Amino acid sequence: MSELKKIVMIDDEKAIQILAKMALEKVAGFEVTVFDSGAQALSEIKNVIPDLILLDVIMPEMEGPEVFVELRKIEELNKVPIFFMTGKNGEDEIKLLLATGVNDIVNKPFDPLKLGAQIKEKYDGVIGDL
Amino acid sequence: MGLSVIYEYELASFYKELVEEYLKNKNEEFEKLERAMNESDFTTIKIIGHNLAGTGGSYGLTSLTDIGDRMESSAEESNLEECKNQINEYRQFLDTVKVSYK
Repeated sequence: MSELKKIVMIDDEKAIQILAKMALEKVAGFEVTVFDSGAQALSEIKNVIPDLILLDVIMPEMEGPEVFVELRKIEELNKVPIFFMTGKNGEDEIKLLLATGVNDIVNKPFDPLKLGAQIKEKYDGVIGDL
Repeated sequence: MGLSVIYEYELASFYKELVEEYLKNKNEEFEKLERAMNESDFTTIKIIGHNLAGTGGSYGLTSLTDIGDRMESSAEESNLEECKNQINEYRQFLDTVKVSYK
């Protein structure tokens, strides 16, 4: 099983970037690279090749599901789990997001002191199936 | 709002510098929100409400997630009166919130 160390987060909201990066690095001990947009991630992610990608759903210009499709076309990321991060937590909205083929969902708001453990648990749950 | 609401939080020390910076940024962003309200710019109100909903609770300020959720919904319905109510509530929050750390 691949151990979770490197995480890429794609989110346009600075407040989430700062908080999640601090939570995942300082509290949970992961290495986090942040991209502000789907376009930036698609252009630069090959320089990182993470163990996990956290992808915001609602972003200007290119929304999460569209970025997800493009990320899945990158061969080096074939086996990298992708989790959507979303504040749209209704049952129907979650079903629609899971139907895209994304590996799991992380809800916003989140508890930064528990975020790392929550993500690791979800990661360990999906990594064996890839 | 007719009722006086006390926004008071006791948060883990982890949040200290983060929350202060967050609230400073939100105060700066408020002008943009007021401008959007005056111009009935529901797209901007919706985005700000959505971001507030996603970030407020994550920073331990749970009322902001509630206000942001309602602001986003009101903007989706192009309901200016309700947007104004939520924006006033948000202003009251920013003016009165007290945060301590343990």
